[in-house]
Order: sequence, then C-alpha cells, then structure tokens
Amino acid sequence: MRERLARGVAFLAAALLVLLALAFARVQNPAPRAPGAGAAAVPADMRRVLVEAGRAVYQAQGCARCHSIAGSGNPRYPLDGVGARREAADIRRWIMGAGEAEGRLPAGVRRAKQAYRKLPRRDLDALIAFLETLRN
Amino acid sequence: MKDIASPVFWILLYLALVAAPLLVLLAGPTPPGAGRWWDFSMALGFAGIAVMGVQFALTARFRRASAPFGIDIIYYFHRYMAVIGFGLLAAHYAVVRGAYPAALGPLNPVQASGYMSAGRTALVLFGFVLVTSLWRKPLRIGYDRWRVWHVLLTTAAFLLAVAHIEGVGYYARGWLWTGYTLFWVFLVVYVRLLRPWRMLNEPYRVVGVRPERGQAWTVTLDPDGHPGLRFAPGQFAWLTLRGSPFRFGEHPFSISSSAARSPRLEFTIKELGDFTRTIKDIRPGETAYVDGPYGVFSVDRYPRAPGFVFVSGGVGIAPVMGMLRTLADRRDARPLLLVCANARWEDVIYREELESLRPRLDLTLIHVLQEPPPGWAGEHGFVTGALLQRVLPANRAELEYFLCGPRPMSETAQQALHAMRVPLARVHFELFDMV
Repeated sequence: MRERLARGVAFLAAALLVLLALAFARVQNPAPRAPGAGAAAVPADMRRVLVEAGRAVYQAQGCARCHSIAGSGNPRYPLDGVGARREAADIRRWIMGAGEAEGRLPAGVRRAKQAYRKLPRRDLDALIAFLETLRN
Repeated sequence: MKDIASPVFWILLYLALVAAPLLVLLAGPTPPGAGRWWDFSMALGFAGIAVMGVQFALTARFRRASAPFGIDIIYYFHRYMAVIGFGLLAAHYAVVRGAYPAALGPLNPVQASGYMSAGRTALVLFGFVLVTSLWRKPLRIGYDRWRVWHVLLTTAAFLLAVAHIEGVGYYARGWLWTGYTLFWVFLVVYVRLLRPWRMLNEPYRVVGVRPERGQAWTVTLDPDGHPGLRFAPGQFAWLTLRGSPFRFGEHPFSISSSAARSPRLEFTIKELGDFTRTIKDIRPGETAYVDGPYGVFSVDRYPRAPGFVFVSGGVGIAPVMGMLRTLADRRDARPLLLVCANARWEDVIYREELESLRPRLDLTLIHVLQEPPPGWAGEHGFVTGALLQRVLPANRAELEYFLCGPRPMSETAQQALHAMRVPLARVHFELFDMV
C-alpha cells in the first residue's frame, strides 16, 4: 500500500517535470522556427583563403558550443546573418567581450569571451572574415 | 483530518522543491527561444539536477517528515527518484547529442572546456552511483564501503553538475543553484555533524548481552544521563556500537523491548553479516548511540483495531516481540494471533518467553517449522495461503496484519491475504534490505 503511494508520487513528480519542461520549450518557442539558411556562402574572391582559415579557427575554438551556423551547433545564439547585422569591428568586440558586449554578457560568458583576446591576431582576423561571410 | 494533511503537505513540499527551477525558468526572464528541442533539453537538465539536489534530503532521516510515511518507504522513494533523476539527466544529454551534436564540443577533456567536461563527468558519476546502488549485492560491494562512496560520489557529481550549469551561464539564476548547493551543504553538516554531536551528548550504556536461540543476541541499553527516547512498539532505531557517531557505523535494528518499560532498550540481533557477527563481543559498560525511533510498523497506529495478526520469519520476530511485550504490559485484552515461522525448533527465538506470554495475553501461537523434529504435530513447511486460510479467524478482514520476515514469506502472505479479501491497507510490513 505504502509502496503504491511512493511509486505514485514518483511517477507524478516525473510527469510534472516532463510537462513543465515541455511547457518551457513551448513558451520559449511559440511558432516553429524557419529552417536555418543553407550553408554559408563563401565569396569567391581574394579573401577566400582567409575565410577558410577562419572557418578552421571557428571549429578549433569550439565556437559551436555556444553558437550555431545553419542549424549546426548550439542554437541558443545563432550566427546566421551576423555578417549582415554587424560591422567587422563590432564582431571583433563581441568575440573578445569588449565594448557593448562587456556590459551585456553574463559574467561567466564574458570571462570565457575575454579569453579570446589571447588569440593570435591572424586567427582573429581570419575568424572575423569568416563571420562576415554569414549574410543570411 | 490532521492524519491526511501532514502527508499531503510533505508530498507537495517535495514536488515544489523538484519543480522550483522549472517554475523559476517559466516565470523569469530568459534568453530568446533557441528551438523547442534545445529548450526542452535544457529544462530536462534542470529538472534532473533538482531531483538529484533533493535526494540527499530524502535520506537525511528527518523524523518529522518521514513519520507519516515510514522511513523505509522514503528510502524506497529515494531509489525510484534516483532512476527518474538520472533518466532526466540522460535525456538532457541525449537530446543535445541527437539534435545539436556540434554544440557538445570535443569529448577529450584536454580540448573540451571545463564546464562541458564537468557536465559529462557528473552524468557518468551519477550513472556509476546508480548502478552500484541498484546492484550492490550482485556486484559484491560491502555495505559500509558502499555508503561512504555513495555520499562522496553523489556530492562530487552534484557539485560538478552545478559547475556545468554555471559554466553554460545563460540560464543560470545564480541564487537558485547557490540555494540548492547551500541546502545540500546544510544537510551534509546536519547529518554528519549536528546530529552525531547531539547523539554524542545522549549516550547509552550497554547493560548486558545475552544469547538467544537461533544464533541471535539481545543487547540491552540504558540511557546514560538523559531520559532516553519514547517509542511506539515495533519501531526501530539506528544503533552505533563501538564507534563514534561521526563515523558511518550505524545499523538499523528493531527495538524488541516493551515500550511500556522505557527508557531501557533491547535489540535482538541475528548473526548475519560483518557487523552482526561482532555483537557477541560487546561487553557491559560499553558506550552505544541510538538514533531513533523510526518506522510505522506498530500496533499503536491502529488503536481501534479489534485484533492483530503477526506473521514472523526467523529474527523478524524482534519487532513483533516488542509489540507483544508492550501489549502484555498494558494488559491489552484484544485477540492476537502469531504465526511464527522458523527453520528448526531449536532456533525459535524467544521460544520460552512466547509461552510465558500466553497467560498474560489472548494470544494464539502457531509455530511453523521448515524442518520439524520427529513427532512434530504442528504446522510445517512454509507460510502458505492454505495455512493462513486455516488459522485466521472469521473476522479476518477487520484485523490489522504485521508481516516481518524474509521477502518471499512476506510476499506470499500479502498475496494470500489479498486473495482472502483482506484490504491491503490493513497489511503492514517494513521494506528493508533495499541496497
């Protein structure tokens, strides 16, 4: 009898938690999102090599832990279209947690981003060149 | 009304504690949606760690919170919730793994960021603890060693999981997780320091250790400089012998002495494992510590019952004896039936005392022996439905039943009683031996 009560409360707790999790997912995402844009276009210009190097930096630094491109990676902060929204200098400040970003990022994230100030200049430039190609 | 209000209050409090992080997430400001699967996965992770955060409270032996249910059932619930909590955490990982593999980053801890490795390690540790707890006996892990590692590993896993949440950063409500962590720390301090300290100030003295039939020993304790504890007959306590209460050295045993003759306590303990084998070496004058009483296995919970039936197997007679002695001391006139199962006639614990209780109680005593001596005219074999059918009185559906013995005996008796239309709510037993 008492085990029935215990099992009942356990299943009730599990059901309540899963329902709340579903509710949270729904409240956060009222309408299904448009499918992500296709793979980032790589302009066939002189910057092509730099952009490819930047893509490698993006992968090596594990940017996808917190960001996504075309649906690949952490969808919380998608980078799709970032090249259209922000200037190169602005992107640089956001990568390094400086300027406007410094005030708007949570403390832990700011610390993580400020660690990128130690990136070699060449890598940082390549990364920014790559991000600038993300225009849709 | 009060009887129902109290359990409902504790159940609601539990549900509120495990749901709190999700309710806070739902109510509070959150970053914009990142896709249903992603947000679902994050919420599952919070739900799982909230369940884990409250697990320690379930086993902290809060007498007031456990009293309405019986502490054995709280441990049983702890076990269920461990599986559910781990399931939620595993689902959190699985959804991200399936839908957003790139977000996980590298597995190699040298390349991975610290908080991602912390999350992975926490999941593995929780899984390890779950397996070593559910299958402790088949894995041949000693109880005392298991207990120490259980606390250490779950604490480490919980702290790593909180570090993972803080590291991800975006959803963290700093105060919320600090709160859960402080709650955990408070419980550790309470269970490991405050309560042992209180026990240290209320020691007991061993008055005697006497042999019983069936390789069992009865330890008698008197409180030393304090009034002792008040208990209901049939309850049990955690007993520490030859050790400080600050060590993980206590074991649960039924109180077999009369509740009407407190403060003296007696525990009858059968030699079964490493700890119980040392009981016979205890000497009068040694110090002991008692944490209790616990449990709902007591005739005192059913003051209006017209009569009681006890079914005991082997040393399972100990709490039943506590109830019989108490009823005798109170001159209780209600009809009692004891079905007392043992392997051999020579091993029947309290054999002589049970006889001597007969004139003081309206007691029908039925011995059931697996290996009866030559010429035995009584019941033999196991406790079966047919046997109960034969010996139970006509008003069987109105009586309260107390089962204490090996699990197969207890389960057979339950099924038989159910088949005889005895309401399940009248059949009582402790769930022990779970890990």
